[in-house]
Amino acid sequence: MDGPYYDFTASDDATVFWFKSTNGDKIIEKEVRYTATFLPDMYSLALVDVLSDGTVSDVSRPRQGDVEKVLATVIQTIHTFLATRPTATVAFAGSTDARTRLYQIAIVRELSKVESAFVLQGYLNGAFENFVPGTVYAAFAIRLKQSKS
Amino acid sequence: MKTAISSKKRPVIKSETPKNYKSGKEAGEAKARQIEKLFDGADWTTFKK
Repeated sequence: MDGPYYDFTASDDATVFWFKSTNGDKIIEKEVRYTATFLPDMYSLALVDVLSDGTVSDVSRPRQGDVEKVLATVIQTIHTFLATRPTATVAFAGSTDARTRLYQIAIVRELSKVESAFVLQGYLNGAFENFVPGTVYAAFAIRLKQSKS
Repeated sequence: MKTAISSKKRPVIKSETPKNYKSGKEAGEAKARQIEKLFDGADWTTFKK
Protein backbone atom coordinates (compact mmCIF):
# COMPACT_ATOMS: atom_id res chain seq x y z
CA MET A 1 0.00 0.00 0.00
CA ASP A 2 2.74 2.44 0.88
CA GLY A 3 5.17 1.20 -1.76
CA PRO A 4 6.56 3.58 -4.35
CA TYR A 5 4.23 2.26 -7.04
CA TYR A 6 1.19 0.05 -7.46
CA ASP A 7 1.33 -3.59 -8.46
CA PHE A 8 0.18 -3.98 -12.03
CA THR A 9 -0.75 -6.67 -14.51
CA ALA A 10 0.14 -6.72 -18.19
CA SER A 11 -1.33 -8.07 -21.40
CA ASP A 12 0.52 -10.96 -23.03
CA ASP A 13 2.19 -8.64 -25.53
CA ALA A 14 3.06 -6.09 -22.80
CA THR A 15 1.27 -3.22 -24.51
CA VAL A 16 -1.52 -2.79 -21.96
CA PHE A 17 -1.11 -2.56 -18.21
CA TRP A 18 -3.71 -2.36 -15.46
CA PHE A 19 -3.52 -1.35 -11.84
CA LYS A 20 -5.78 -0.15 -9.08
CA SER A 21 -5.29 3.29 -7.66
CA THR A 22 -6.42 3.18 -4.06
CA ASN A 23 -6.87 5.90 -1.54
CA GLY A 24 -8.99 5.23 1.48
CA ASP A 25 -12.06 3.30 0.40
CA LYS A 26 -11.97 4.55 -3.17
CA ILE A 27 -10.53 2.36 -5.87
CA ILE A 28 -10.00 3.54 -9.43
CA GLU A 29 -9.03 1.13 -12.18
CA LYS A 30 -6.23 2.57 -14.30
CA GLU A 31 -5.05 1.44 -17.70
CA VAL A 32 -1.77 2.30 -19.38
CA ARG A 33 -1.75 1.55 -23.07
CA TYR A 34 1.07 1.73 -25.62
CA THR A 35 -0.09 2.22 -29.19
CA ALA A 36 2.04 2.17 -32.33
CA THR A 37 2.17 5.47 -34.22
CA PHE A 38 2.96 5.91 -37.91
CA LEU A 39 6.40 7.09 -36.83
CA PRO A 40 8.96 4.28 -37.02
CA ASP A 41 9.27 2.30 -33.81
CA MET A 42 7.50 5.00 -31.84
CA TYR A 43 4.66 4.25 -29.47
CA SER A 44 2.35 6.61 -27.67
CA LEU A 45 1.47 6.22 -24.03
CA ALA A 46 -2.09 6.67 -22.79
CA LEU A 47 -3.09 6.71 -19.13
CA VAL A 48 -6.82 6.40 -18.58
CA ASP A 49 -9.33 5.68 -15.86
CA VAL A 50 -11.58 2.71 -16.50
CA LEU A 51 -15.07 3.79 -15.50
CA SER A 52 -17.75 1.60 -13.99
CA ASP A 53 -19.60 1.27 -17.31
CA GLY A 54 -16.47 0.03 -19.06
CA THR A 55 -15.75 3.27 -20.88
CA VAL A 56 -12.54 5.13 -20.14
CA SER A 57 -11.61 8.72 -19.40
CA ASP A 58 -8.28 10.30 -20.22
CA VAL A 59 -8.65 13.15 -17.75
CA SER A 60 -8.93 11.88 -14.25
CA ARG A 61 -8.85 13.84 -11.06
CA PRO A 62 -5.99 12.34 -9.12
CA ARG A 63 -6.28 12.89 -5.42
CA GLN A 64 -3.58 14.37 -3.29
CA GLY A 65 -1.12 11.75 -2.18
CA ASP A 66 -2.00 9.36 -4.97
CA VAL A 67 -0.83 11.05 -8.12
CA GLU A 68 2.86 10.48 -7.44
CA LYS A 69 2.29 6.79 -6.91
CA VAL A 70 0.16 6.56 -10.06
CA LEU A 71 2.84 8.22 -12.16
CA ALA A 72 5.59 6.13 -10.57
CA THR A 73 3.57 3.09 -11.64
CA VAL A 74 3.38 4.43 -15.19
CA ILE A 75 7.17 4.81 -15.19
CA GLN A 76 7.42 1.15 -14.14
CA THR A 77 5.24 0.11 -17.08
CA ILE A 78 7.60 2.02 -19.40
CA HIS A 79 10.44 -0.10 -18.02
CA THR A 80 8.50 -3.28 -18.74
CA PHE A 81 7.30 -2.17 -22.17
CA LEU A 82 10.76 -1.15 -23.36
CA ALA A 83 12.34 -4.30 -21.96
CA THR A 84 10.31 -6.22 -24.53
CA ARG A 85 11.03 -3.71 -27.33
CA PRO A 86 14.61 -2.53 -26.87
CA THR A 87 14.66 -0.31 -29.97
CA ALA A 88 11.30 1.35 -29.42
CA THR A 89 10.65 4.91 -28.28
CA VAL A 90 7.77 5.85 -26.01
CA ALA A 91 6.37 9.32 -26.61
CA PHE A 92 3.92 10.94 -24.28
CA ALA A 93 2.21 14.22 -23.61
CA GLY A 94 -0.52 15.13 -21.20
CA SER A 95 -4.07 15.58 -22.34
CA THR A 96 -3.71 19.16 -21.15
CA ASP A 97 -0.79 21.48 -20.48
CA ALA A 98 -1.35 20.98 -16.77
CA ARG A 99 -1.21 17.22 -17.19
CA THR A 100 1.99 17.44 -19.22
CA ARG A 101 3.58 19.47 -16.42
CA LEU A 102 2.42 16.83 -13.98
CA TYR A 103 4.18 14.17 -16.04
CA GLN A 104 7.28 16.34 -15.98
CA ILE A 105 7.25 16.49 -12.19
CA ALA A 106 7.12 12.71 -12.07
CA ILE A 107 9.94 12.46 -14.61
CA VAL A 108 12.18 14.74 -12.57
CA ARG A 109 11.53 12.67 -9.49
CA GLU A 110 12.17 9.38 -11.25
CA LEU A 111 15.02 10.59 -13.44
CA SER A 112 17.78 9.61 -11.06
CA LYS A 113 16.52 6.05 -11.17
CA VAL A 114 16.25 5.76 -14.94
CA GLU A 115 18.91 8.00 -16.42
CA SER A 116 21.56 5.28 -16.46
CA ALA A 117 19.38 3.01 -18.55
CA PHE A 118 17.29 5.40 -20.64
CA VAL A 119 17.64 8.27 -23.05
CA LEU A 120 15.11 10.93 -22.16
CA GLN A 121 14.40 13.86 -24.45
CA GLY A 122 11.98 16.73 -24.24
CA TYR A 123 10.16 18.10 -27.28
CA LEU A 124 10.00 21.85 -27.58
CA ASN A 125 9.45 24.22 -30.51
CA GLY A 126 9.65 21.46 -33.07
CA ALA A 127 12.88 19.92 -31.86
CA PHE A 128 14.07 17.34 -29.39
CA GLU A 129 16.68 18.02 -26.74
CA ASN A 130 18.11 16.18 -23.79
CA PHE A 131 15.69 16.55 -20.94
CA VAL A 132 16.49 19.52 -18.72
CA PRO A 133 14.62 19.71 -15.43
CA GLY A 134 12.79 23.01 -15.15
CA THR A 135 12.18 23.36 -18.87
CA VAL A 136 8.52 23.11 -19.82
CA TYR A 137 8.16 20.66 -22.71
CA ALA A 138 5.25 19.88 -24.96
CA ALA A 139 6.04 16.16 -24.96
CA PHE A 140 8.66 13.62 -24.00
CA ALA A 141 10.43 10.74 -25.69
CA ILE A 142 12.10 7.94 -23.76
CA ARG A 143 14.00 4.90 -24.99
CA LEU A 144 16.61 2.47 -23.81
CA LYS A 145 20.23 3.44 -24.15
CA GLN A 146 21.82 1.30 -26.82
CA SER A 147 24.93 -0.47 -25.67
CA LYS A 148 27.97 0.16 -27.85
CA SER A 149 29.68 -3.07 -28.76
CA MET B 1 -7.23 55.42 -3.72
CA LYS B 2 -8.74 52.10 -4.62
CA THR B 3 -8.58 50.66 -8.08
CA ALA B 4 -11.94 50.07 -9.64
CA ILE B 5 -12.79 46.39 -9.72
CA SER B 6 -14.12 46.70 -13.23
CA SER B 7 -10.65 47.51 -14.50
CA LYS B 8 -9.29 44.19 -13.32
CA LYS B 9 -8.85 41.50 -15.83
CA ARG B 10 -10.09 38.11 -14.94
CA PRO B 11 -7.35 35.48 -15.22
CA VAL B 12 -7.88 32.96 -17.95
CA ILE B 13 -8.13 29.51 -16.46
CA LYS B 14 -7.80 26.61 -18.83
CA SER B 15 -10.16 23.95 -17.65
CA GLU B 16 -9.64 20.27 -18.20
CA THR B 17 -12.36 18.80 -20.33
CA PRO B 18 -12.63 15.09 -19.69
CA LYS B 19 -12.59 13.01 -22.82
CA ASN B 20 -14.40 9.75 -22.57
CA TYR B 21 -13.77 6.87 -24.92
CA LYS B 22 -15.61 3.65 -25.52
CA SER B 23 -12.51 1.64 -24.73
CA GLY B 24 -8.87 1.84 -23.81
CA LYS B 25 -8.03 0.92 -27.38
CA GLU B 26 -9.94 3.92 -28.70
CA ALA B 27 -8.18 6.18 -26.17
CA GLY B 28 -4.82 4.73 -27.18
CA GLU B 29 -5.51 5.41 -30.85
CA ALA B 30 -6.51 8.98 -30.03
CA LYS B 31 -3.29 9.47 -28.08
CA ALA B 32 -1.25 8.04 -30.96
CA ARG B 33 -2.86 10.53 -33.35
CA GLN B 34 -2.11 13.35 -30.86
CA ILE B 35 1.57 12.40 -30.79
CA GLU B 36 1.73 12.13 -34.60
CA LYS B 37 0.15 15.57 -34.93
CA LEU B 38 2.44 17.05 -32.29
CA PHE B 39 5.56 15.68 -33.96
CA ASP B 40 4.46 16.57 -37.48
CA GLY B 41 7.18 18.78 -38.92
CA ALA B 42 9.64 18.02 -36.12
CA ASP B 43 13.35 18.44 -36.66
CA TRP B 44 14.31 14.78 -36.51
CA THR B 45 18.02 15.55 -36.65
CA THR B 46 17.70 16.41 -32.97
CA PHE B 47 16.10 13.10 -32.17
CA LYS B 48 18.51 10.65 -30.57
CA LYS B 49 18.22 7.07 -31.69
